[in-house]
Amino acid sequence: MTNPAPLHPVDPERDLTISRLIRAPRASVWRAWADPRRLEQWWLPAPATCRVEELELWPGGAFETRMSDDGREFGPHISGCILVAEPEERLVFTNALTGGWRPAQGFMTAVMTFEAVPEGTIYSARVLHGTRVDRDLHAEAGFAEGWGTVLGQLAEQLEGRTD
Amino acid sequence: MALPSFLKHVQVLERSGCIATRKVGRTRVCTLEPRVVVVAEDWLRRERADWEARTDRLEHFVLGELAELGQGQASDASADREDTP
Repeated sequence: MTNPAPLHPVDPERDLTISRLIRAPRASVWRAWADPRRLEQWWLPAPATCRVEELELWPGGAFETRMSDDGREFGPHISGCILVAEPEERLVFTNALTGGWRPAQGFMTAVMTFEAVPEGTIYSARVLHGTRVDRDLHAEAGFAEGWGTVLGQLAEQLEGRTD
Repeated sequence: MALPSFLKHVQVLERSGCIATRKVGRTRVCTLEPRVVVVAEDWLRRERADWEARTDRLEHFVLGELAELGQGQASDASADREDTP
């Protein structure tokens, strides 16, 4: 298994972590993620339906899902890139990149871990965001580091809107 | 970032109501308006609700599969018992 990159401390203003003890074998929790036909069944809330177009479980692999409200017309949903896929251990994807590591317009990374325990599986999803500012304001700004850059990008967004 | 650029951004933010500023001596103190903080918090809260619900669905799906598997095995076992004399 490749050495996992150390995660920075969780920032409560822009990250969220969800952990559950799922009383099922780790293999079946992993399979729910790794099998496109299974992922389709729980990825979106009813009555929306999901179609998993691409789920290439290797670094750089495409991760594309589409959603439909009426079961006929499917529109874009996730357009992302798999960064890490260690079977039954860890899955990382981002929508800041699309397949082949091509830069996109997204702003989040999700890290899923699967830990086997006697009662079943401890499943965790950590979702990381680049900025603390409202997503709509930052839709085109991309990732930002430091208050100065965030301030500048926010101001640029607002200037664009008022022009 | 150079100070003039920074100040220009501050002006834009103040004009749009995101921050309030006041001069204290030679320092300009900027405070974030509650509206922006609430909007940001609301966004993260909505994201969390989405991911919690998604994780609920994952758990429900996995447990449902397990239950179906269990029922299948149970009915196979009872069928075997019936077959044996």
